[in-house]
Amino acid sequence: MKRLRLGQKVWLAIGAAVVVTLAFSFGLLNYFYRTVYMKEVERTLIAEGTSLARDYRGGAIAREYRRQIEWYDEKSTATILLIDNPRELSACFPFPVHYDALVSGRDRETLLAGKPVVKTGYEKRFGRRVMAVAVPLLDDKRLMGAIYLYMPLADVQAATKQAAAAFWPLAAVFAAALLVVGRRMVRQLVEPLQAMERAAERMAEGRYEAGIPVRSDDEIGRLAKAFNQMADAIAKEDEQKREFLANVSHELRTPLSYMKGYSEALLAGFAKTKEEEKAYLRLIHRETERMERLVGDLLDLARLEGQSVPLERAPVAFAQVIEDVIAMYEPIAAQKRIKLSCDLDYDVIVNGDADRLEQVVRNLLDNAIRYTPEGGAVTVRLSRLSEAEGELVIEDTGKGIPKDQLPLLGQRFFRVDRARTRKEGGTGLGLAIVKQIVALHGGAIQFDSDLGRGTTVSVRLPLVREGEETYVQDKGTDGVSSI
Amino acid sequence: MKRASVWMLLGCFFLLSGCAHPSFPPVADSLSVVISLDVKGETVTFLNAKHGGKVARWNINEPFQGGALSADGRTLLLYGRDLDGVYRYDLATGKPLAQWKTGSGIVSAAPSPDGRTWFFGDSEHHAVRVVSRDGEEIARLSVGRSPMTLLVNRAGTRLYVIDFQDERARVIDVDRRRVIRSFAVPKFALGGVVREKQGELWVGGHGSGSRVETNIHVYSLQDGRLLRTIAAPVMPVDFVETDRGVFVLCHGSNTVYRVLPSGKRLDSVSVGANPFAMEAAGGRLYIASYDSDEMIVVDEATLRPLARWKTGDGPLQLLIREGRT
Repeated sequence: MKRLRLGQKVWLAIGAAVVVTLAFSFGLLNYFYRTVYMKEVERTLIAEGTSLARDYRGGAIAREYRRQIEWYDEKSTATILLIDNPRELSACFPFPVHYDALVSGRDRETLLAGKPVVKTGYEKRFGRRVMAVAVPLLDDKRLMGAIYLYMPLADVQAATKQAAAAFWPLAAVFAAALLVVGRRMVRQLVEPLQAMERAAERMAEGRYEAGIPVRSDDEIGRLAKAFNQMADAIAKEDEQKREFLANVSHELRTPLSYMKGYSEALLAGFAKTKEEEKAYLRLIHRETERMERLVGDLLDLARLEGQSVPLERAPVAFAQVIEDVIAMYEPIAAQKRIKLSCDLDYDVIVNGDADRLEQVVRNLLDNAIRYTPEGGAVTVRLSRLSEAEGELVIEDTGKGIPKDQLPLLGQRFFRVDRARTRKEGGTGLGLAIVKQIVALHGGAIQFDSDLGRGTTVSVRLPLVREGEETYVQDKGTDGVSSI
Repeated sequence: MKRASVWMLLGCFFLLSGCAHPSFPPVADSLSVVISLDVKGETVTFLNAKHGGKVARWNINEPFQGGALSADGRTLLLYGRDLDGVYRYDLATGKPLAQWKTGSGIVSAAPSPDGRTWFFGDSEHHAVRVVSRDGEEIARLSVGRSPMTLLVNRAGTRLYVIDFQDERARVIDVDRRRVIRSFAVPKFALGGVVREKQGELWVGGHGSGSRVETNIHVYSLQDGRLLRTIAAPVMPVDFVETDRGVFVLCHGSNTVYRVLPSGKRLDSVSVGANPFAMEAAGGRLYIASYDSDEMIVVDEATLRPLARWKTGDGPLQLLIREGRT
């Protein structure tokens, strides 16, 4: 069996609801007519009969009284008979006279008790279904006659038919209106879903533009909006992935080209002297190191992004870490005649991974020294911003970065000056790694620069508070004796 | 062993007493009573014939339709189309006597004047059954489908059977046990009186269809000819002949007419509500008023109502039992 689509299901549900509602309404209408209206007709007949019977004065039925009843019969909508034939009143009831009397033996008992009799159903005498009421004419204990009033049920039910005649056209209009509105609702509900289905299929084929129209602000509208955002994000991610792959291949190809070229030259015997040969080999060696660094950084970044190696957190005296790195870079700075100064707050304790924090400082300092020309200055400052936050600022007097490129800093393989950086030996991944480590520590990084006047990098990190420090000490597994 | 036998005997006793019909308050032989057979209430009411005081009421609780007294006035018989036999009771003791297993369908009963036989009209076998006073069936004579009126002449030699449905009356020679003559009567004929001196059989009835009977039909006893009709509206169903004339009860008009032997209607009285039965005794007429559950006592000479006595529900038939000293 063919499976129904969502639209068809909703459509069917609306149709079924319409049919059930109409059927129920019609049933209710009929019920009210049967109970309320029929009861009302019955009440009217009894009231008329009782009123006519009140004029009976006892004794034999007078001619005048009979004429009165006949006159009323002509005026009334009901048919009214005056029965005084004992046979019609089942006077011979104990004897089997086989006569289908208008008043049965049992009815006679009721009439003798002074109560009216109500009958609804087929009456053989009239050959149709009737609602009949018999009211007794009693002279003491004698049943002298009965006023018999009846209405064909067809007349009574004509009112129901009239109501039905008005009901069905109205019901049809109602149903049509409901179906039109329902159709629109179904379309509004289903169209975005169908668009999403098509978009998802396109995405599976590698086309990431979604463009689902957002027509409403309900769940469906919000879902469409979220779907569009998701598609954009995937497209962007895909773009970055492509760019990353292109960058990686490019970065690997450059040293490989060097290595291939120089090694071929060596093999072809282009090096005329031993010195020249050595120079070639040094170049090959330098490019090998660069590749090693590149691969190391890529691996590092991949680990950080995938969080495959979790941070080994412990309270870290950040100033100490910075000092160690500065000590490491002092010879290089001296070589470039760069003035390397620092201003460190030794009370800043960060709950972090000491090695990774050192990597942050090293990469930032490396960049600062690398891009600061000879005779420049690099300043490192560590300060406490508040009880909960500390800030590391590394300021250089380098050539600076154009403002429009500041947001791109930290992207993988982004370089402000590609040619020069490669020459300087950078992999283009340092800042990406820094950004990732800072993010993992719950901190933030900010770049500020004026072209030609230098760059300032600020790293804000959450600090260990008094109470937490103790807690970390208690829970710590490795040595924290330095704190 | 002995104890077990005692228990078994006791058990049998309870079983038998449970099956037996209950006995009713006795009606002394010396009392003259009017017996009302109240078919709606399924009771039998015994009223003192003089003052109407209630002597006894028997709750029969069976759908009987009529009854008869034995010629000696000691035994009451009850019958009905749906009863499986004829119920018999001894009035003096109130005890039920052995039931006569006639089977269902009995619609009328009459004793022979000498008290030796009973005649039963059987609508099941379409017969008149002649039964001895011991309950043994002596003869079964084929008649119409509904022999509801049985009239016996004074000598007990002729039985007149007026059929309710077949529009025929039959004359039975009791001694020879055969139908000797039949003649046409109106449909739903009921009630009648045999007037031997005049050689007439008066027949009443309900009338058929929507036409109600308004006449008494008088037939010749000799040949069954319709001699004349006497106007007696509406539905003459019971007759009593006394020295003062023939009294005719019409249930459709709640009227008793006194008709002279010549057939001339003398006077009438309006009585009761839908009365079906009338009996005469001691210069009085007793009339059972079915719808008002009472008995009207009328002076036979003046036709003036004397008293109204309460009966059970729906008195359909009256019987008079003269007391014996």
